[in-house]
Amino acid sequence: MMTDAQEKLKRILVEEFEIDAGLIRPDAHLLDDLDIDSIDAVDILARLRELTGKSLPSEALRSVRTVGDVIALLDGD
Amino acid sequence: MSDLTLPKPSKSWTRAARAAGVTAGYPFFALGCCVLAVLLAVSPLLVSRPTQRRILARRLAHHFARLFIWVTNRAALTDVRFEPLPPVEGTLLVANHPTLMDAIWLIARLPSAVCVLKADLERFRVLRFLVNRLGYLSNADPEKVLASACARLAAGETLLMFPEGTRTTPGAPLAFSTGAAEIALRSGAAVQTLVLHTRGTYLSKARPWWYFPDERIFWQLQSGPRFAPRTPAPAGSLKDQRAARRAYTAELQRVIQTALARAGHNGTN
Repeated sequence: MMTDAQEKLKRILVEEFEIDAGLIRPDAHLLDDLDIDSIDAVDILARLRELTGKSLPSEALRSVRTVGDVIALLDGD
Repeated sequence: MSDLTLPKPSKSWTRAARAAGVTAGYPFFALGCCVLAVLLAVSPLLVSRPTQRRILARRLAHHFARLFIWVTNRAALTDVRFEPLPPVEGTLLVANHPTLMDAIWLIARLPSAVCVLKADLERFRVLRFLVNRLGYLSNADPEKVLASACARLAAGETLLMFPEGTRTTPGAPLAFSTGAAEIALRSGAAVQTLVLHTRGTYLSKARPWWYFPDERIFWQLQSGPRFAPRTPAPAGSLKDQRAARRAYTAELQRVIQTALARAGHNGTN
């Protein structure tokens, strides 16, 4: 069962970054598996803020490595 | 790889002299940093305005870097050379990163440049203090560094970045990350590429920092192609913005790689 925020993350990755939905799993590594670099991550974070209304702190990106880390960030806020 | 094997020792006396020189070089450098830190620590007593203090700090660091090069060049430890540069004020400077000393040596030629340094360096307390006083930027937080880099360029400052994010791996092709191109696109600044030529692998990733060089450490700054300000992809389309910064990154990487290959000084020979 996906939360609303997780749904939004998936939509950003699939629609805006053209990532194959099948690759988006919690253990997928952003850079190695999905080719999402740190600047892409900044864009994704900004988009997630717009879509969820959550004030996701930019420092959180420092520890984000996988899709699961982003989900934890979304659920934790 | 054959180019990473240790070279045959040269005449033992020159080697010994060089070893002594290098041994003296590091404490000299460390001492210089500490003296600089002390000067900057007391600078608020002398200069009250923060912007003026920053200008003073950069000027001191610039002169220290020049003194350092003068001494090591005179002592035949280094052969650091600067080719003429076009005016670079207000541009984003993008350089390759072959050696440990690139930022210091570049400061000797670019007194007002704001360096964007990797966050790891903040482990060193003196360095962290210097970076702060010089008004340099740390890349610890990508979102913040994008914003502050653009603000600095908008204010007319000159920014210096090493898009490899760490020193070049000798023998491997350059691998730029996309931050510099993103800053160029967001800020609308012109980009001046800088090509840093080296011979051998001293001070590179392939050697421990204390490894004694067998010959003078050659390093040369050459100006590379300049890129006029570009119109960014329309806001809102993450896909287009991403494609634009990746294409720009590839272009910057290619011109520097080409300049290195042309000179044959890509750190592998």
